[in-house]
Amino acid sequence: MIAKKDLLQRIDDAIRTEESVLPIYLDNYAAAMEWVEHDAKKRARIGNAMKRIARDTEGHKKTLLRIREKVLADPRSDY
Amino acid sequence: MSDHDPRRPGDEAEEHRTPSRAVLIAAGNLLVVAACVYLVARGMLLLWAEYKVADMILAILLLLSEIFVMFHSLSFMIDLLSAARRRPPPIRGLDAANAPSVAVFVPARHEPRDVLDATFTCLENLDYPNKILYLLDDSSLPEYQKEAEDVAATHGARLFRRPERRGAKAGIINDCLKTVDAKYIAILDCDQNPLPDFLRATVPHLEANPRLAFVQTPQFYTNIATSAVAAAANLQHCIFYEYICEGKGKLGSMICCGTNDVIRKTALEDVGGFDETSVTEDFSTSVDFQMKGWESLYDGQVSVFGKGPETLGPYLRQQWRWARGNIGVFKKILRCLLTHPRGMGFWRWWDYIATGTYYLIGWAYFFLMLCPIMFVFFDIPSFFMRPEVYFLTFLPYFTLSVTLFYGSMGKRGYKLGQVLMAQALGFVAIPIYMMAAVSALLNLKAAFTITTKSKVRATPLRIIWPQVALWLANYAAIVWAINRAVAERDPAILLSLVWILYHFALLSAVFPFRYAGHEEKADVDPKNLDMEAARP
Repeated sequence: MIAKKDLLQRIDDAIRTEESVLPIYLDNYAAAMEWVEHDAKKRARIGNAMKRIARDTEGHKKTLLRIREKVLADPRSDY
Repeated sequence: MSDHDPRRPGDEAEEHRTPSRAVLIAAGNLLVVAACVYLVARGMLLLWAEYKVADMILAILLLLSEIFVMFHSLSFMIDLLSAARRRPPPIRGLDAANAPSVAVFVPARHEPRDVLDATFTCLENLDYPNKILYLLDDSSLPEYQKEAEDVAATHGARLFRRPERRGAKAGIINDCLKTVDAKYIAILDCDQNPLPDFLRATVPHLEANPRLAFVQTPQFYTNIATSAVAAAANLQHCIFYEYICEGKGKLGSMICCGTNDVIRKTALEDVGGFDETSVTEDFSTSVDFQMKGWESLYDGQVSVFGKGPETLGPYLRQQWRWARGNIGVFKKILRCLLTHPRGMGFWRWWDYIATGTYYLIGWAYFFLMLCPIMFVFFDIPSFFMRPEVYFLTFLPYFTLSVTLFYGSMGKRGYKLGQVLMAQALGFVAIPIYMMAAVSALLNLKAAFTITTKSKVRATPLRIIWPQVALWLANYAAIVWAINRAVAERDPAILLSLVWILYHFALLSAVFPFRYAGHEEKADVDPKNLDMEAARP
């Protein structure tokens, strides 16, 4: 069993992680992009990876927000 | 590869990025023949030469240095050949419901809060269901201890501390290991940022093979724009991880690199934990794994991004530690070879000996540098070869080895300038390798420490005086050699001058590297004078 308050806290933590992790990944990828500046193929590959990771992170965040709304709307106090 | 595969920058079609195996086999055979021709000619002429004792000593040291460099060229060639073999398809896919437990260890001591936060944010985001994060805090200063507590609480990590510090990083990992019952241990340095699928990509290998002790993945420095030192160090990493490790992986002789790896806990327990007596505990423990019959694997996909040394001081300090540790482990390898020659196959012994001896390259380069200088100034001969014979026998070997090296780097898209910069940075570390070799071979307790004040514009000359002294010696030799070449018109002087110019050009890199990264960074932060000083 987990209290509603604790569950919401965990969801908030997960949302915070999703929000803060994306800039770290993108910074790292930007450096990798700079490293392979002379190679169009590699640049394209890294570009795709950046888009994918941004899309995934945004997707995770939206899912978490949806779950959060559901939990908030749920009358139960424990899960 | 997993679906989520953004990893190594441009890693597609690995096999097409190394020269074809047939070409490499042919080039390898030619290289061996060319090296043998040169060495036989050198050896014969040395035996027939008339010499004084001093000449002979220098000549033998030079010949040994050449043999050493050729041995490592050949080792690189063997790794290239192995790397060109088709890689078996990576084992991917993990049943999320039954994922084995992984304890993720991040050893840290007096690390900045923002560095730890970034690492633990990425660790929290690992898409692996059965993970437990550990911050192994070895800080002794209260402010850093408090920060470590905050980081652990913020990111849901367990904080591990011990009452007494010993054995540095190896020690704290061993101590924490006793308190953990996870099946696997992932180890990441505190400035390494893993991508979400780091564990999903590595754990299946260990699940598929119960004799596999560890899976090693590459390091990739992302602070390359910050300084030329970090960029050159990153290229050195690329040479190591993209060629040497690929080869080692396929020969089954991959070594554990101490970060970005996942280790089977029972294997680590079987060898008695990490070797706390070595400053390169990862390499030393790899020997133990091999001797106990455990296997190793290299997964060449970049799954973790990290930070390299940004200024010359920390770079030299890092090189000191690696050189001191590796040469120390070489003595252990020799002991194992003599007492248990069947402990490994031929190529694994070869590979381990090559890794263990690599940093003796400092002494080899020193003698290669010294001999032409001695000839120009004092007429002390060390080649005992007429220049035309030298060209005829040396040129084929030299051309082949240089073409292979630069050609293979070019195949991966690295520019000549980048490769030269990495070489120059390695050359600047020669005095460090020499000191580390003496320290390791004689078992001296000396440590290479830097105590620069926190903000400086350049690495102080008192740290790089040996490099500057060598540079000056080469400079003086150039002036004198030109003088003699004009007056005497001796081809032997011209030949010496070419080598001196080459060494001088590489050593000159110490000056730009000295300033690199200093705009924003201190040469070394005194609080981070870390682990090795306290090692046993």
